Amino acid sequence: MDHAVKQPLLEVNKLSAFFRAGRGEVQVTRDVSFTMAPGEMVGLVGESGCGKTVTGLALMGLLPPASSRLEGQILLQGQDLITMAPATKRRLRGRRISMIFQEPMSALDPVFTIGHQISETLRAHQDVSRAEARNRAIEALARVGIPEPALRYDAYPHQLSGGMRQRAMIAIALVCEPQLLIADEPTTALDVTVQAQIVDVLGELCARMGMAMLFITHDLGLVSQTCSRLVTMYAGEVVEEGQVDDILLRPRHPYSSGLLRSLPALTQRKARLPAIPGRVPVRGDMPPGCRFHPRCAHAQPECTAPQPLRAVQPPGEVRCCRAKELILPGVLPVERAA
Amino acid sequence: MTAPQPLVATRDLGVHFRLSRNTVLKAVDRVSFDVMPGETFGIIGESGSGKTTLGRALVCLEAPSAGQVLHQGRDPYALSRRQLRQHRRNYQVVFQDPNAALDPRMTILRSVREPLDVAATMPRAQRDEVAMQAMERVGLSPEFATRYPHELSGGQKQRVCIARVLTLRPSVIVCDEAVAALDVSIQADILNLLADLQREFGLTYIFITHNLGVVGHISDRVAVMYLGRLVEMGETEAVLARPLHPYTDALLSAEPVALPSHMRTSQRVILSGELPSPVSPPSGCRFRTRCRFAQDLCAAKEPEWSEVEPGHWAACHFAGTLPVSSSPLQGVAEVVA
Amino acid sequence: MNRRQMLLIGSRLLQVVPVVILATVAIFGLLQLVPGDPAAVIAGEYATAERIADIRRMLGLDRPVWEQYVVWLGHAVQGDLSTSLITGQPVLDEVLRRLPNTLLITVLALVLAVVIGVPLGILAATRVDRPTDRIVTTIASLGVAVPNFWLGMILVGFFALGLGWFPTTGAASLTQDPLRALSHAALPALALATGGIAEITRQLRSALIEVLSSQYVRTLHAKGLSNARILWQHGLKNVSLTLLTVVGLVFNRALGATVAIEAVFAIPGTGSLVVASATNKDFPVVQGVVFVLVLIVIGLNLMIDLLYSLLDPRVNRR
Repeated sequence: MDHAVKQPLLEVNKLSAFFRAGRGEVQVTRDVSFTMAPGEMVGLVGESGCGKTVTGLALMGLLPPASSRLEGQILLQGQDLITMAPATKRRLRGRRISMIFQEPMSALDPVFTIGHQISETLRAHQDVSRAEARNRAIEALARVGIPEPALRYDAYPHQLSGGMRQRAMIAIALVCEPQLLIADEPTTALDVTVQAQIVDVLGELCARMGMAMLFITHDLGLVSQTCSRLVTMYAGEVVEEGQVDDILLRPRHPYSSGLLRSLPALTQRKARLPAIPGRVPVRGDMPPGCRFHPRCAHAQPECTAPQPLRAVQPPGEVRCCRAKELILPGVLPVERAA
Repeated sequence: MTAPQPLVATRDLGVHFRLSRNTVLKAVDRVSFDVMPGETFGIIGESGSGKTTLGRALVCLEAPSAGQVLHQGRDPYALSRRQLRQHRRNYQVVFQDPNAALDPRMTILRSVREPLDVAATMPRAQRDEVAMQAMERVGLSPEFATRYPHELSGGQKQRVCIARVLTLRPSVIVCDEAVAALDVSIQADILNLLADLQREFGLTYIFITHNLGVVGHISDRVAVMYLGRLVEMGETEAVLARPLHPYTDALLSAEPVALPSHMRTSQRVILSGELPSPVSPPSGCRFRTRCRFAQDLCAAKEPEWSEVEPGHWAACHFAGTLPVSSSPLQGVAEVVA
Repeated sequence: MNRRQMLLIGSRLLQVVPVVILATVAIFGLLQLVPGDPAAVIAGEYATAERIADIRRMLGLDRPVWEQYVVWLGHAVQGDLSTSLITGQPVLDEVLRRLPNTLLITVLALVLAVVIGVPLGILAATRVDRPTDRIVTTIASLGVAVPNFWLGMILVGFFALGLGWFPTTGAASLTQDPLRALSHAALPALALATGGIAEITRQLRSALIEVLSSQYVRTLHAKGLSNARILWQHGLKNVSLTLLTVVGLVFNRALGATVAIEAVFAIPGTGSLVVASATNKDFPVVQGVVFVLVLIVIGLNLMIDLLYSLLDPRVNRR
């Protein structure tokens, strides 16, 4: 469903990822669909194994071509990234669409200075001299809030703290001013106060550069703080999509509701936490129809039929046949939400 | 009526590591607190705070370099080595990474039974029995006994670690980021389990974490650490609702809480600067380099650890007089109540 | 040169002493087990027992074994490697005369190992599990398995005796006639190099595979860098440490293997010197060669350690 009046920046249509396993293949994500408008901050939320990182990598074209396969469409301003020639796609990476990763220590090349790694990105995409690349790299370091950027240009990753390394990675990703930034759990490995700083930097840069951001995380708190829209994934599928505030107050999918309710901060102190029973199904052994129904308190026989994404009001989508009739608790208990 | 004796206490506890000829890292520096029987005591800190070292010192995994750790009023290091080995069984720890904590080549049953094997006070059949019971108590069905760690999920592995610790019927369990590596829904499960076990076995928990949401939910009292020292301590509700120390305030403010924007009481305090090196902490108050209220006094004199309000301690020259930002957690508490 | 590097050099120099002592004691001890008697060799075929005994006394061979060693050591630390029991010539001169030939084939072998092994390793790593990789890996295994002296004989038989492209034996001075020196050294170096080629190929392949599947390489792809740039700039720099370590190992081993190769190709180097002297129980010569070789090996490894800090910024800490 198209929320943006103008052409969306990113349109993901029924994206499915398959990994080679043994002699056959296993489907890792199924029919992932969502859109992003220019400058929009969207959270892609789910627990481990739900396919959110795979989706992010698929958008960047970073899944190993020898052992993976994509179906569906990824339209970046109308151009399909899946059918694009590899060379053309490579030129997009770092230039129009960038990605930052979770562990900044292992995500940066340890034997090159961070300044070099920024300049290198610049010179790979734009025709600039070494001197100019250096200047712009120093500017980029300053923009992400690294003190004494001219000195830090010559620093190696291991000489920086975790927060600084992540800032350096952001500088690398943003130096060519891409239109879309995919941030895959960028703050999970960082302390909460550093996390706050990084999230701040990201928000500010997105606003200033008019850049869209896909924030991949398992932390609903972070998403509610930074993003305007939210896409929830479970067991390889998108199960809900909509405005963050709407979903927090009135989730339409039992999984979103369960996830919200299990946050400790939202339950009275010392009271029992409402936990979702059961376990996430393993790949290759998915239940028929709705993948969440074995764990769902509201399951009915019709849940074993294939479930498409349905549109709901307020504007959003949900993969649940009972969405229209269920009233689910979100951040507030049910009685207070109405 | 005599006051109840703390089960675990520290008196000016220091744990120092000598890094080279002239540098000493004081991972824990003059920390004093009591943990009462049956309570859940939370310790909040970020990286470099020394909380893990403190946790290890509390269960005699690190010997104090200064001060004391007291178990039921007695110094465990005054015991003979053999007595200490027995004594330790009562004070156990569950760590963050269940993968690293389980031997991949031992079946689950063997792992859970291992503390009993080491203690060697029962015949094998009885040890198996106790281990199976512990597994059942943490929600693992008997079929898990013959499986190997790699066949289990993260949450299940953490349950195994808890079962393993339970076999010894300890009085105190230190949980060092025990749920940090788990997904949110699994986390809720494990926290519920821990609460049940506490009720059933009268356990005392010392819960070390950086996650304010978790610690706010399960702790009775909470202490905040920064660069090896305690900066605040008190009843959980008091500390989270009316923090006395600017660092606690910043932590609370930084914690991302899932609330829609119109319900956020939002003044966010963003801490400036970086964590100073623990090897050479700032003079006076260690937090002053990042504190928005820092004055000259803060550099000159280290703040006293004092009871600013009954049961609520803080180490800040201006504790109680500073404007505190409204924490998002506070907003949630109002919502939830 | 910073403090750390000076400490490194200093500690290495200190290491020379115990290593030399250990090596020479071991060799000396082993030599005692070799049948034969240098005095008998000198005295000739028709010597009387008396004559032999006289010579033994003259050479100091009737002294207790430990005393012979200590006397030798005492002279050695002053730079005097004494004289050959058989020829009476100063050991140091003889060793220094022959050393260039040995070093030539060893260094050439090392160069060949790098020049052939590195591209093969890269080739295999960039085509993992595909036919090219399997071929290269098999060749590398063969390289480890094939005895180099056997290969040497095959090479001589085919290229020297058969095709006549190379001389069969001997050596020439590099400084006076480089072309001829190289043509003499080519086949022996190639035989020496096989083990090194195999080792470098395998180590480089596995190190490069690990690097190319690391997280930071994923970031490099995310930046839009070309595969070529990622491989040649980032990949190689990250495996350079491994490569350096393997080069050190290959050199050490090649130096040891010169004993056999010099025999096959009749090269007048330290290897053949050692063999001949050991056969005659001419222990000053054997000890002298060992002493010099130990110095060379320690020196090279020291250079490698110093190079580490240049290549990996994480190593160079104050």
